[in-house]
Amino acid sequence: MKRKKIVLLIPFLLLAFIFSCAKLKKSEDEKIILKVWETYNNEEHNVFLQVIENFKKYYKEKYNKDIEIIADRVPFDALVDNIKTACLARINPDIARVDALKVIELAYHKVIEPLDKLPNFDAKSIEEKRKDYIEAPFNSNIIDIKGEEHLYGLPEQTTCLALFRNLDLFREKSAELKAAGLDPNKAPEDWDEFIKYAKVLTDEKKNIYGFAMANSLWFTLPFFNMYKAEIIKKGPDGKKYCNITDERAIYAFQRKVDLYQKHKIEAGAWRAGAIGPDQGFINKVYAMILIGPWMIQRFKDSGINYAVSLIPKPTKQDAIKLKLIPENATDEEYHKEITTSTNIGGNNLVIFRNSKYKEVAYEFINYVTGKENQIFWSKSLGQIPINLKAYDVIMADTAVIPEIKIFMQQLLFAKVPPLVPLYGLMESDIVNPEMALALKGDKTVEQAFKDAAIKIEQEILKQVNE
Amino acid sequence: MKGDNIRNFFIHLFLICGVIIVLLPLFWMLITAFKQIGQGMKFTFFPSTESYSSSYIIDFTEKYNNKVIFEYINPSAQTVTIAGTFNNWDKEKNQLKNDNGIWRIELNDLPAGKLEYKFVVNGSQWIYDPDNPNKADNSILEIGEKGIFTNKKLNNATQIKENNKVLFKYFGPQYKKVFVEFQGKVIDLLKDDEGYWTTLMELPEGKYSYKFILEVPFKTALNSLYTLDNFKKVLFNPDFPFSRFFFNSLVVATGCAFLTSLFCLLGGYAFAKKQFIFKDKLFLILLASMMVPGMIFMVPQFAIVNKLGWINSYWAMIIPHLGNVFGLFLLTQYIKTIPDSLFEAAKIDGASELQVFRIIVLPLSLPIIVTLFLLTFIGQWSNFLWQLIVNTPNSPYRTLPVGLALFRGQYATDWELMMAGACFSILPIAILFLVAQRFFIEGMTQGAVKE
Repeated sequence: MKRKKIVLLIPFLLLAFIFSCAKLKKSEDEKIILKVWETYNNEEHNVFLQVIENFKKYYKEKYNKDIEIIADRVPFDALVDNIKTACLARINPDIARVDALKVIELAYHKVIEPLDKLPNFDAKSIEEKRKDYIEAPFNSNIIDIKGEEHLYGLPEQTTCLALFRNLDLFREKSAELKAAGLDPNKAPEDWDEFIKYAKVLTDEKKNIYGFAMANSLWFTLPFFNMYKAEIIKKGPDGKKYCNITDERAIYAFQRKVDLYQKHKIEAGAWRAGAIGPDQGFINKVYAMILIGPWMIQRFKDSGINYAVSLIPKPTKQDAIKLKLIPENATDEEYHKEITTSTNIGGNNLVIFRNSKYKEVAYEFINYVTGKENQIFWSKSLGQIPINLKAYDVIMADTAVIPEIKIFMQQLLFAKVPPLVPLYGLMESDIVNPEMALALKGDKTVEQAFKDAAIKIEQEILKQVNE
Repeated sequence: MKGDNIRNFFIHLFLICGVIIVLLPLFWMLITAFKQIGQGMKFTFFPSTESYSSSYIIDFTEKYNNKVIFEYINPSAQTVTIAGTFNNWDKEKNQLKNDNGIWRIELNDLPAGKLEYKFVVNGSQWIYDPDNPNKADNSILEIGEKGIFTNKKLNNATQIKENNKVLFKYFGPQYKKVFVEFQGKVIDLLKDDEGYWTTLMELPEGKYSYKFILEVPFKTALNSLYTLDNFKKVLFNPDFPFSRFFFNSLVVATGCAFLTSLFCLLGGYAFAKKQFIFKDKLFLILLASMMVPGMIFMVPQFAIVNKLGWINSYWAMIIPHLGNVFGLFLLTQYIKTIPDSLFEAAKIDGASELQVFRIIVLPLSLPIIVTLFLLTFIGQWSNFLWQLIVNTPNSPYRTLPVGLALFRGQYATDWELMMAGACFSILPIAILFLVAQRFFIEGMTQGAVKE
């Protein structure tokens, strides 16, 4: 009998123990408190804390009110999953700094606020607001959900790809480059010239290659963009459809495939287990790579001698072939119409729908992306400003390192990646494997893109268009 | 006998190769943890005592033009330009090139006479040339009609002398040896009292490219590749509370492993040796739940944890992992192998239920309990996603995997710091394995020996 009592008592005690652990909800404070989740590194985080202090002073002066802003660092990995579960539990912050390509996911989940609907939205239209920012990063926030287009965030930090040249490898082949009629101190201007440079720089016996590239949709976007190929297009009925089988898209990727298969100047760095482009670049194995400004400091730390330049542009013949310019276009028209191009990455600031202080949050993100703060941010961290007024100031500042200015120039020719909610899935599960098959020669580019298009329509766009 | 030896040799060779391959990631982690920032991705593992200067060009064909070489030492400057009377004080026109902290520019065909100039550091600081004592409002350099002029006694400038003679010269008192490499030859340089390495050569007129090979002492080379700073940065960084992360991981992993082992032992004993209603059906249901991927449970578990108000607490990090069906299955199957006669004998001797459990079940199941403890400990020690979502970013209960993920950015990763942190994170597991290996061996040999 005694034993039975003990057996009955144990589960009761366990339950009592579990529920006693539950915390009581605290009563909410009346003071304005904004919570920001951000993914900065240590250095950026410290500057961001300074930005917060500056904003507090600005807010106090403007409204004579005190405000508290809490900045919490979140690991970049699984950030969106973290946000989604936090939204489920209503413990999400007021503002979050998220990957530019993830804003659409949060917008489709209806957890972030359209900024243009806020009463204190400070422009007559999205178009007017766009004039303050570099276009491509700003456009990553304009999301069309069921025919309604709204602005869901503001760009806060941006990045893109540009061409990095390992100058030591260029110098070693200086005589050969000159003999081929190429200037070892200059970067190639178009892709034909690029191939010429890379052929001289490639020395298969020494395992040195003129070029190395990653195989992912994001890293291939500069090719698509330079030939003005749109992977996802909006039809006249307002629905989105996959346009990856378009002549320009196929030609763009064929150009990339040819660098490996036909011209044999690419190292195959995209293959599993191969030396990655940035690692090969540091180790003087690859002479040219496409990479972003995040590697500048690392390349400097590793002591390599390098230079940054604009990504080469399409040749005139290519431009005529793809009807980007008329057949009888002059050289002047060609140079005017056909430019270098790149993609964008980076982060945007979004405001959550359940934030108690959405208008204050908007004031804050507007301040962060405003001219004065962007100049401060850019000078403190050597990063690219996204505000166009700050852009002009930084461009004229001789203290800014030349590499950053090249990236700033390159960004003016950037285009936003396709904005679809499952972009990550589209890239990793559909386009990348098909592109890898084309690069390996297991499929033609046409076939690979046809297969990719079917999957994109079924697995990605069907849900978007429903 | 000879055949056996050869066979044994190849078996050993195969095993050693296998071990090396398996341990490669560990070696890489350890080496990277000790590397200087920026060196982690390099294939260099042995410190090289030799390094190269930039390449220079010596141009005999221009020797009668006016050339002025400006040199300015400032390793911390981001940009250095020169502005003066020769470029209408345009601070953006002539940018100096950085070579290991020595900024340098060569200007050709400057007019003879008095030249006024200043350096512009980081775009805004106008400074006098620190190496030129001749100054008024600006630094002043007198340029003659022909020849090469410099603003100072240059650090690494080769000088063209009369009669086609070239004086190769490099400033480097810290170097053990300096050579000059040009036209495929390597020539030894001699060090003078001031720390300059020089050699004089006679060359036919022309244009030559050359560079210096700099040999440093082994200790300097070692320090330029390896450091202990990464560990200090991880341990004492105010933005990265390592000790707190480590403590939290230890509490969560130990708590989970201990409680899981306890509950699985109790449950396993009941399922293996006790009779109760729906025992088999219940066991089957529990086993069926093993077939469902763990991620499926994440959202409902999170909802429950949130309802209970456990977000940002150890409870959320430990309690949802205690219902470990795999552990229950493992213990049940193991305890089933203990002969019933032992339990019957104990009962006959008057042992209570608790005594049976303590004297028979617990000691005989110890190897499998230790195994389960270790498996659970390892699983929870490296658990990232659950511990991330049940803690808000300001939570003091964040664990080490969540903390280490802070070194991983959107595009770039601080490999050297991350690996230094990872070195600490493998310590508890390594210690546990060392301590517990005796039980593994016991577990493996228990059935092999007959009384």
